[in-house]
Amino acid sequence: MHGRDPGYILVAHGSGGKLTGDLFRDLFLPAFRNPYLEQAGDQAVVPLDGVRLAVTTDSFVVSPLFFPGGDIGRLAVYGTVNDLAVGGAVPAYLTAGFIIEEGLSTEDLRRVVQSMSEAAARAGVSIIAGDTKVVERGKGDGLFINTTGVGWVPPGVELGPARIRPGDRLLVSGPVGDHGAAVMARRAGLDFEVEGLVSDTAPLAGLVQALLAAFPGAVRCMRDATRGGLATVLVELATASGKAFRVDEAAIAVREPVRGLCEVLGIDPLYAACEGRMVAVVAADVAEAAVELLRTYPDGQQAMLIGTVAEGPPGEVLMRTVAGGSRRLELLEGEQLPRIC
Amino acid sequence: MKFADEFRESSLARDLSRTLAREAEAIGRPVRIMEVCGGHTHAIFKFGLYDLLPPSVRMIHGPGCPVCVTPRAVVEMAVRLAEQPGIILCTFGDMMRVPGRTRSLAQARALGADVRMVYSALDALEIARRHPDRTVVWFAIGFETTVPGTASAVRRARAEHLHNFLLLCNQVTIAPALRAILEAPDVRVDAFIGPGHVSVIIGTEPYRFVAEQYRRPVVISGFEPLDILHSVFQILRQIRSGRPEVAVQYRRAVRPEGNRLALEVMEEVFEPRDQEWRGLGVIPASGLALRPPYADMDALRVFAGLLPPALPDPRGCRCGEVLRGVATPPDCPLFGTACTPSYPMGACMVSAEGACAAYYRYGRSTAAQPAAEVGEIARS
Amino acid sequence: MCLAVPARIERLHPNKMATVDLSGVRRQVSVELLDEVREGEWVAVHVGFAIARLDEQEARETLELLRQVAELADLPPAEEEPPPGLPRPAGPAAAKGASGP
Repeated sequence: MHGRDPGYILVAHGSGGKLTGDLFRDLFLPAFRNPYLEQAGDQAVVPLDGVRLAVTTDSFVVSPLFFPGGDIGRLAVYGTVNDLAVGGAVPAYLTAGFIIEEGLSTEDLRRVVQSMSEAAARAGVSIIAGDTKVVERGKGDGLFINTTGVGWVPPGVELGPARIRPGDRLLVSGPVGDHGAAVMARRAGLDFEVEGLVSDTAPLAGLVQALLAAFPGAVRCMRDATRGGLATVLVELATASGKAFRVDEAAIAVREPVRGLCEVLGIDPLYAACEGRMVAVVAADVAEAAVELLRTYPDGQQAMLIGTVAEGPPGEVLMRTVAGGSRRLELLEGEQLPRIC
Repeated sequence: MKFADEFRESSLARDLSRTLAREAEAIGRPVRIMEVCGGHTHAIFKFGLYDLLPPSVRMIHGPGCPVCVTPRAVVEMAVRLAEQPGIILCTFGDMMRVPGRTRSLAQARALGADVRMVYSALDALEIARRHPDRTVVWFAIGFETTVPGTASAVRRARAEHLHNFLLLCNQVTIAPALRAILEAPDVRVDAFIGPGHVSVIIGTEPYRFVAEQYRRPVVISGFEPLDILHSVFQILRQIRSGRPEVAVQYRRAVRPEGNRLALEVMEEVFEPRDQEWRGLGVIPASGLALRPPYADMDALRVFAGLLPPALPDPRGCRCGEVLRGVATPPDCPLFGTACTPSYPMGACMVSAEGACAAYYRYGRSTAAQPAAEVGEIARS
Repeated sequence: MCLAVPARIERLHPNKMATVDLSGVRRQVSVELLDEVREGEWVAVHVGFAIARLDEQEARETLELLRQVAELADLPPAEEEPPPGLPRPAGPAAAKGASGP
C-alpha cells in the first residue's frame, strides 16, 4: 500500500528516489513492457548481429546551467557515458537533443556546446546526431539537454547484481556528495559562497575499463552514484542482489566543504548527488588491489573500501555510524529539503 | 578546535556507553527521558545512538519540531496565501511538504504558486526589497532559537518602510509546552534533555519549574553524539542522587542568562498569545503575536478571511500522541503505509526532525525494539 | 528543532553583517544578536544569524569531563565516589536560581 498520489507530478518524482521508481514501475513499465526494460538497469544491452549493443538515455535539467566544476553540457555527456561504462560497455556514440528557452544567450549555448565537445573527446565518444527545439520564454529553464548513448559490451564481460556474493567488498571511487552540494549551494535563496565546493562531474569509463582489465571475473557489478547519492545506490544494489550490505560510515570520504554545507542545511551527504563516482562490488581477494589500482587514476585518487556483502535480509544496508551505533540506509524519499529550523 | 568533530569520537562513545550501562544498572528501573528538541531526535537516529544506550533507558520524542506542531489550519492558510495573485510565499525548506487541507506548499508550487524556499528571514526580506510590486509573506515558524531572526527582519522592514513584507506567524515557546506535557494525564517522563539552541537564547531560568515543581532533571545538551550520551549520564546521576536540577551539558554555547540582545529584539517585536499546537491543543501564552506597533504586518490580519476553521488530523493519524510521547510512530496505523515521507499525511512524517520521519528514514528495524517498549510503558 | 552550526567569523561588514566560514562554505550572516564580535571568533549560526559565541575553554572542559565519565566504565564501584562527572550547577549567575531546590 502506498501513500496518496496527488494526481499530478511533483519535483520529487524526478529526484531519482522512491517516487521516480514508483513512476517507472506503475506507469512506464506497464506501457512499454519488454525483457530489456524489465531489467531496469542504467542501460539496456541488446544482442545485435553478434555484438552486445548497450543503449541508454538521460535528460539534464540543472539550474544553474553553470556551476563550480561543471556545466549542463559536461553533465549531459558524462552522465550518459557513465551509465554505459558501469555496465561494462565501451561507450562509442552519443546523440544530443537541445530544448532551448527563447532568450538564452547564444554565448551561453556556445559555452555549453564547447564543453560538451571537450567532454566527448575526453570520454572517447563522438556526438553523431542531434536535434534542436526552442520553446517560448517561461516554458523552459534556459536549456534542457537529452543525450542518448550507444556502446558495446566486449566479449567475456559479465556484470550484474546477480553475481554479487556474500563476502564481496564494496568499493567507491571517490568522496561523495560533491555534485549535489555544489548545485544546492548555488540554488536561488540559499546564497552560499562555494569556493572549494566543486562538482565531481567526470567520466568513469577509464576507471571501469582498468578494473575490468585487471580483475576479470572478480568485478561483480558496478553502478554510478547519481541522484539519490551513495545511499540510494547501495540500497538499490542490495535489493537487486538479494543480499545485505554492511557499511562503515567512517570509511566513506566526504570532502570538508561538502560536509560543511550539508551540516548547515541539515541534509545528508550520503543522499547528495554525485556525477563522477561509482560503486563497485568486487571479490574480497582483489579488493585491496582494486583500490590501489583506482588510486593511480586522477578521478580515483581517493577510492576507498566502505563495506562488505553479508548474508542477511535482502536489501538491508546497515551502516555503522561514526559514533559507533548502527543505522539502516533507505532509498531517498522525496526531495532532500534543507532542514533548517 | 572545530566544535563538532571532537564530540563524535567512537572510542569515547563506546566507553561512555559502558558507563551508562553501569549507571542504569545502579538505578535498577526503566528511565524514560524525553528529548524535547527534534534536533536531538534526528541526531539519536542519525548516529544510531540507540545501540549505545542501556536497554532500560528509553528515549521519548518531544514536541520540539516547529514544522510538526504547526496546526493544519495554519499550513492550509499558507497554501491559500501562496495561491493569491501577487503573493510570494517564503518558507523554510522543511515546511514545503506538510499537507494542509487541500495540498502542501510543494504541491501549490507545482500548480503555479510562487513559493520560495529560503535559508533565513533576511532572505525573505531581501525578496521583498527586490519585488516592491508584490507582497512577500514570510511563513514564520520556530521556537526561541529562530524567533530573534524573524524579529530582526520585522524591525528592519519597519526601519526601511517596506510595506510589502508580512508574516504568517506560528512561532512558539518551549517552557509552556513542557508544563503542558508535565500536566498531561497520559504522559510519563522521568527527565528531559533540554533543547541546546533554544537555551542559547533563553538561558536556564525558564526550566527551573521543571526541577523544582515537578522534580524532573533537565540537562541542556549539545547535538553531537558524545553530547547526548554525556547528557544521559548527567540525568542518570541526578536520578540516582535524587536531586533534580537544571544543568547545562552544552556549556560551550549556552550561558545561564541566555542571549540578552536576542531576548530584547524578541520582546520588542512579539508578545505572548495563547497558541494551538498540533497534538497538544491550545497552550496558554505559548505562542507569539506581533506587538501592536507591528500588527499591520500580520498576514492573518490582512488576509483574515483566508484562515480556515480548525482542521482535525487526518483520520487514523496519531501525530498528536506521538508529539506528546504517548505513542510511537509504529503504533500509528498509517505509519509506513498510508503515510510515508514521499506522501506524508501527518506532520511528524514530514520534517526530517519529526519522530515518524526519523523512524522511517533511519531504519525501522533498529528503532522498533525500544520504540515498542516506550509505547507500552507510556500507556501503563 | 533548531539546527545551528559552528562557524568562524572571517570578515566583519557594516550593518552588523559578517562573512563566516562554515567548514569551508562561506555565507553572510547577521551578527546583530551578539555584542562586539571579532574576526577569528567562533560562533553558532542558525538561519542566517550568529546566535552564540562558542567558548573554546568550555569545550575543552566538557571533553575532559567526558573522558572522566568514560573512565568510570572500568572502575570498581567503590572507587567511583565522588563522581567526577556530576553535573555542575548551571553557572555563577544561575547557581542559586537554576540548580535544584
